[in-house]
Amino acid sequence: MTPQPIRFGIMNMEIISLPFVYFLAAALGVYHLLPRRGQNIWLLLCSLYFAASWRWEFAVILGSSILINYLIARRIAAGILHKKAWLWAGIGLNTAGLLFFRFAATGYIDLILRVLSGGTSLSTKILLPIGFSFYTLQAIAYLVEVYQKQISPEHDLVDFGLFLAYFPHLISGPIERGKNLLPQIKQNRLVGNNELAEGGWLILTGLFRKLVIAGTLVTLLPEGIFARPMEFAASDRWIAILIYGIWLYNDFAGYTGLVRGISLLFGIRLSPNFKQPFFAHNMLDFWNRWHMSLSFWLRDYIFFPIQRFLIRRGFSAGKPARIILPPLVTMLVSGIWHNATLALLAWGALHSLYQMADHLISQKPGFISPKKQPRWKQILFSLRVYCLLLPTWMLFAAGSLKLAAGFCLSLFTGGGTTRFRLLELVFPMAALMVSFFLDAFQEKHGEERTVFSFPRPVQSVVVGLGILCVVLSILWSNIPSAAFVYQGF
Amino acid sequence: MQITPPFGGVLLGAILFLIVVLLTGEGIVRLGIQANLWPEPLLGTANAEMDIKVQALDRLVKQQPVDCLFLGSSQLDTAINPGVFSDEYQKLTGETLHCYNFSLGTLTAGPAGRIATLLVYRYHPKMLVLGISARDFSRDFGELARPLTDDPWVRHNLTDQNPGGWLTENSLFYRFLGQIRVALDPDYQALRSRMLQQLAPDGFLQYTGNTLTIDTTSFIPKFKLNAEDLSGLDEVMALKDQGVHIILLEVPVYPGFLPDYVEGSERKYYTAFRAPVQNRIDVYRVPFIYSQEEIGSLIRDSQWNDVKHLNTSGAESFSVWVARKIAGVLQHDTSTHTIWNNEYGNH
Repeated sequence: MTPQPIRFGIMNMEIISLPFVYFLAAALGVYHLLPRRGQNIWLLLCSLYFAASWRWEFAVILGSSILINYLIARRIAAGILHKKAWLWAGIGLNTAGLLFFRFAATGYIDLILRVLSGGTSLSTKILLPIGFSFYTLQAIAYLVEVYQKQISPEHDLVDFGLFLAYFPHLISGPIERGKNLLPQIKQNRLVGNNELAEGGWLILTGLFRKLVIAGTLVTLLPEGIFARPMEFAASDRWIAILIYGIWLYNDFAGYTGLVRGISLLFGIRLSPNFKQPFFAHNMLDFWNRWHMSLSFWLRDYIFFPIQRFLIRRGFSAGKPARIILPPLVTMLVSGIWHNATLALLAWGALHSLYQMADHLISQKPGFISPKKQPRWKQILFSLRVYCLLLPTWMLFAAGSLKLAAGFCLSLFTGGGTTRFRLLELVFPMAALMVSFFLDAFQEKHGEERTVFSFPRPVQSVVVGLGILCVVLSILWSNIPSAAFVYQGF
Repeated sequence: MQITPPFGGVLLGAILFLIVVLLTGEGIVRLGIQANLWPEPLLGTANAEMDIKVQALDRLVKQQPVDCLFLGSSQLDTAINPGVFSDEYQKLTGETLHCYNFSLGTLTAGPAGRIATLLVYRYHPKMLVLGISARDFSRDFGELARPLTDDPWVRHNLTDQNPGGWLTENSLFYRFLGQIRVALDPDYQALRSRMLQQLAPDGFLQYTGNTLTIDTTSFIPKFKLNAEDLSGLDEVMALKDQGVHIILLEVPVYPGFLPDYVEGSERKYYTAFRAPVQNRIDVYRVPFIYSQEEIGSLIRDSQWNDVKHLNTSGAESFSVWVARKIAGVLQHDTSTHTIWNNEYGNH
């Protein structure tokens, strides 16, 4: 029997779509008429509706996760003798859920069932619930924070539900910490001039990155180029791999900017997720700038605990175990989190190798931090980082080891006539430059306030041109909605 | 929410800036066209041929009504020379018809239904001749024409209102910006320059080659009338209710190619394509002019551009033949004759 996805959802409410605009307008309109308690109830209802708009089962799973984690956290806080057991039960349940859906979505569960039952397959395909891998990590972090008494357990189920389900960050994060988000949920929120201005700017830059920059760069990534590279010219393959990371960055950073901006309209400040990653000087620096909310989660809940474990067992700083194990395990977990495939495991392993190398280099005598080196050297360091990233993008984009290896080999094989002519590269090259300049300005002035340091007329012109580009992109792309790459994770 | 003045100055400034830019742009583009500094921008849809033809037809209907339109794929595009057709028709009936060939490369029957409706809404022709061939009903070719019907301007003209279509219709500056976009699209530009070279003012696509190479592998290996294309055919037939005289024309292929055209069998062409189509349209009482059997005696080998397209010489002979057939059909159809003499139409 061919697995068929079940469709019970009202609609797939993509964040860039007209239904979402109506939904957001209704959510905001009612929200600002209510007192804080009412606002939280309203936002939670909106969030559950948002999850259900994809599939009603997703809202049920989200609701169950809220309830389970709420109860476990209270047990952790209340229990003296068994609090560690409750913590591990909570971590175990969340992890098991994540692994189950991750492996089921990849088809492994179905495969096991078929082997065990002698051929019977699942009648329906199990899909990873929207945002599950993001809010599960958030729940684990919350349980640990409660266990470590960094925060008090949340007594109000509505407030806790909102902490996990808050719709602007539901589908792809940022993965928030209790100590950042819960106090904002608990207090009266002010939406004033600053929040509206910064929110508006974040929304505009988010849309610009996603629709204008990523939307233009994607034309250089023809469908199937990573799966069937030999159908394309060698130059096309090179263009695709060189452009892939910048496209992915603009897609994801665009999403993050957009949802952070939307959240500010509700008076809630979400954490940043990117900090100009391609300006990084080494791979350790890169992971402090790329998908930061995930990187910091992995650092705090995988990397540091392993390191502490090793230190407690007497492994000193120079020991191979100290150098190898923390980054290796951390990046393997990161790989599995992205997708339970060998390619993503290899992706994690490769990243861990880079981190080990950076670590060793930084410990060499006479090492000078890149930040203290001349500007031209810093640029070379950033270019080196980008080059090191290329093989990891291959693994990430191809989705399987075999395809990634095939693509890699194809880069050094000639043949084929290029699909792109010089004329077709004009817009993508312009998009690349705009991406670079936007990064440079954001690095200097901050993501939320990039434009506000300019004189007012210049601000108006920049905003006006931004709106014009976004509107033209929407009109020209002629598609009713736009999905983001990371919502697939 | 707690907003304290001054607030929104930047946004207001941005909106004012946009208004100024858009109005100035619109003014400059229009003035430039009036002063012949640059040509009127094309629509900028997914299809350069359609853009050129819409612009040409828009100009034509400002001078005189268009009486008949030909619609089909590239096969009809190259097969009907409207000038030759009109001359022959006039010789036979004494009536002058202003015709335009609106055929589009890659068009299949499904999208043709939508385009035919658009043409009737926009240009109010008295007669629409739909040229069909087996490939127009094969699923294998359906996707090629899809961008045509998904286009905002096409949807706007089919009463599916949308901002992009509205702007394309009403703002020359928007079209101008669209031209910058398509200027960087080599596929569009290549098609545009080819069309500008090969298209006659009446929409006839002039092929001058003569290469009759027959590939003996079947052109359509598995043929089944595609439901979407049959719906398109129904949509064209339904235009009869709008008072438009609909004629279906079989667009021929080179007789030597016929055995390899549909499932590697000449018989299949008739049994799997033509007979079912005839059955389908019987209910509409629309004339279906067959041409395949006669094409061998009508067109010499030197008059074929390739096995599916006629060259200009072949098109001349075929257009004369079609004019005679249509004159005959209309002569026998008294209801049509009445409609014709009453100058039916909105012009």
